[in-house]
Amino acid sequence: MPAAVRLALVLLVTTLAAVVLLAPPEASPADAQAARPPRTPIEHFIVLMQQNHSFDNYFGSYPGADGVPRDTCVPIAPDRADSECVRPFRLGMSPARDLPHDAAAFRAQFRDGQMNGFVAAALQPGSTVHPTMGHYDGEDIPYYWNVADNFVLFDRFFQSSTGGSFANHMFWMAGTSAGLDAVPPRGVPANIPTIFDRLSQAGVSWKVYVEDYDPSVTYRTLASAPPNRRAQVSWVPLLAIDRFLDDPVLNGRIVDLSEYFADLERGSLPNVAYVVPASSSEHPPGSIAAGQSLVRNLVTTLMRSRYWETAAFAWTYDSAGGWYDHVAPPEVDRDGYGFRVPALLVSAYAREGVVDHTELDFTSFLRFIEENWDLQPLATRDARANSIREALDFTVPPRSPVFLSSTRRETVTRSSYLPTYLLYGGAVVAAGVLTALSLRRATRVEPASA
Amino acid sequence: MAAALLAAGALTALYLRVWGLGAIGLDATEAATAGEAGSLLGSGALAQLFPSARGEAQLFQLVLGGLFAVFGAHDIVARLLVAAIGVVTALATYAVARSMWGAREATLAALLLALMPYHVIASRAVGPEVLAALWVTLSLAAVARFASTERGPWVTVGAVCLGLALLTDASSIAYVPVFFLFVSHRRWTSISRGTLVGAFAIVGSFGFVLPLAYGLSGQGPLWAGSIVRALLGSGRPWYLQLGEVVPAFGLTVLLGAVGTAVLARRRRTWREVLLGLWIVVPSALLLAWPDRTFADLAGIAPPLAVLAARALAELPRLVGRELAPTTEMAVSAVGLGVLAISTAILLGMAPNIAGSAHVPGIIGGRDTARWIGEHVPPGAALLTTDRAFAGVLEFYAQRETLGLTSSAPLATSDDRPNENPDLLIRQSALQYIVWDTYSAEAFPGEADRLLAYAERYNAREIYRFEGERLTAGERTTFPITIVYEVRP
Repeated sequence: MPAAVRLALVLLVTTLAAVVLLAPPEASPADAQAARPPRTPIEHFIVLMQQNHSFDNYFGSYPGADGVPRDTCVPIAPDRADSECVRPFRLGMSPARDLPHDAAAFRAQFRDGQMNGFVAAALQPGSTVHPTMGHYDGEDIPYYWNVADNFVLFDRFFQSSTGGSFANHMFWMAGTSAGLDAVPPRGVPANIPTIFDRLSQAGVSWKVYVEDYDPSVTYRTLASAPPNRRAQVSWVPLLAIDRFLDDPVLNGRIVDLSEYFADLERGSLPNVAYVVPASSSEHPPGSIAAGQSLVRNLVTTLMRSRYWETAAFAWTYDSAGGWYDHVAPPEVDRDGYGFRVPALLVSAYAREGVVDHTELDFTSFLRFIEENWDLQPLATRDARANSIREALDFTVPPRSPVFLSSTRRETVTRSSYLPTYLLYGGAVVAAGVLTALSLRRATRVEPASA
Repeated sequence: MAAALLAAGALTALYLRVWGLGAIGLDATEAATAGEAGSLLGSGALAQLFPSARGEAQLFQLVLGGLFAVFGAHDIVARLLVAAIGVVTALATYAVARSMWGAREATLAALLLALMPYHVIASRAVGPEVLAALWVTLSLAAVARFASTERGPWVTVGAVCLGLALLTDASSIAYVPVFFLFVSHRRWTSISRGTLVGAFAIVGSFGFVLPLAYGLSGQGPLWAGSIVRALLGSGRPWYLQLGEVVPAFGLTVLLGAVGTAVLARRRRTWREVLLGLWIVVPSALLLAWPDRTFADLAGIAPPLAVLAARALAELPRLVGRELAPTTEMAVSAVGLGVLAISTAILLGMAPNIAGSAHVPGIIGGRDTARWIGEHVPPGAALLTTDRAFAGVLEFYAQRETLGLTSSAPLATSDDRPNENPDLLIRQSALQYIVWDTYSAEAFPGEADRLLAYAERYNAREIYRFEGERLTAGERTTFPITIVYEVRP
């Protein structure tokens, strides 16, 4: 056999071996089987990842939830017994600051489970302001509280990783961070399967909707991308995985958020949809009102669509964002959990006005998807995670949609009208008494003939 | 005989006030009052959609709210309450006339009020005016009793009734001057200073309840704003008020009142003076009151009926010769018949002239709102041309509705800036548009804007309520309301 032929055969075999070993077995849509039906009435699952708020920061005062204990006061200097402490306070419309929220900040806040390092971790020299203890309530995030009143709020939902955005978004899509806490310069190793690989293999349709999506920004172009666009890759780790960049079918499923509304309108909503916000992510100092408005729009549009009775919409936050949370997270592996984050579920089958105390993390969404479409787990974490399934009740007919208000309507208490009731009631009683007395006097003195 | 006639009168009054009462839904003013009543007593969705106070007196709303709490917030409950008050007012009119003259005048007066078109229409509309008119009439009866017996306690009773009138409708203040003017005038009555001061204190105390209740509820500015609106606002022009109300008193009542006035020129007693003052002074004040409504003059209807009854009873003196009893009865019967026919015609015409000041209710509003309530998801927000029509939709559909004439929600209009409907539609926070012919006629510019939103946001017509009219001898249909679904 000529040397050139032998070399060509070796190269061919090597190339084939590399393809077989490195590529995930289900990466190519060409392998897709016939669409797999869901095990529950949920034919469409949409999950949105907002950013940087802890559970206590948003729902610490929500009735019925595991909120901030009344006597909470976090020391400024946790190592000193005589340290002054800071109590939680309502932020209201005060501008929010981007607080430290990486793995180092987590350790400083967590302090081996003492949970007393939040103020110190965010302390700025010379500053007497301790925003980390600030929180919002129903007047500040009325729509979210209205959703909690009507659907499901999870109060033991933890960020998967103690690290930053990239690691947590990786858990969200792949069930593991693969040991990465930032976009790797050479991209995410190709052998890390994502939930989208599993879905493609099962013939289950999916899309990733990205707000303000710029397809030109990937891990390959990160250095030359505008600084304010680079985070797109952290929030969409698929843009750091070669096959999702090079395979036109896979890449075509990463689309701008405007497509979500178009898909709902034309009836092409995929079975699984991930939604990644950008300008509306609520990442401090960004506007929480803008984020709330986006979520309301996404949910209301879903409710008005043909998909309402077959869909579930969940959203959570990729990180506690440095905000105080009083619950020490369980340690499930070396990555996490991180602190609690808000998470809510809206569906025609969602239990009504329930605070769900199941221990969950981002991989709980994966677990639900895997159970619902009979998919293999991606990693250890999602294989062990609790599913959000218990928050859905399929024993009852689907609920009609309810368009929730962006204003908080507190229950009207009659006590606020007490002065009106008392004064008018008193006046009527006085009128009766006066009339009765006067009539008696008038009748007594009046001649019978009158 | 008199008792039987009175009973017949009461039954007639009741029949005219409840006949076809539920045929047309509440109009904007009625819906606002009913919504406030429901909100004040914390009645379900109404408490979320309507303000619990609008700066006005609230005794009627409290009574209505109590009924809503027992029977549910249905329009028919509100209408029946007002109708019942109208019937009781006819009986109070009997008491006024009885205190002045005999049973014959009293029965005739009650019958005249029972059949009077103006009072029938006024007491078929949900509003505080008819209850205020009842209190004013009872006050008049007490003053008449005082004048005939000179017993001070009747002045106290009159003052209490006047106080209740103030708690029901602040415009009843127009009767306060005539009350004190008459009871303190030494030519007609003799009253002790103590009784007079006591009466003044009672009326003043009751009048003070209104601002006090608002003040203690932390809504003082709301009350102050309503006073400013009442004094500086613009209601119906006075000539329109006169032009619509006076004919609605009915020919018999007007001729009778004029007849008694003619008789009084020859021989005037405290009776004619009291009735005359009770009509003229409040009428002048209420016509000068900028914030006028059709039912404002309901309080002068009973004294007018009494004056007319007196004329019918004194027919021989009026015509200057003796008349056979049968002739007198016939004239009375004809007079009452004319009134009854006028009222029946007005009520029979109701479907064709709805929306005018004469007939309460608005065609199509309730049907449209009920359809929305059944077919539009809870929590949906609607946009319509006029805030007033929005109130009708909110009462029946129990969905938040913005009006382009004031795009803030009704319940929060005093403390929230106007919303931007365009932005709300784009955010899916506003999902439906409701066009209506009444608002389109009154506010063509806003109606055009509304339809521009519909066009811009892919409107899909999902409901239409149509009316019929004769055009060139042919019956044609036209839209009264259209509901569109809009999507960004």
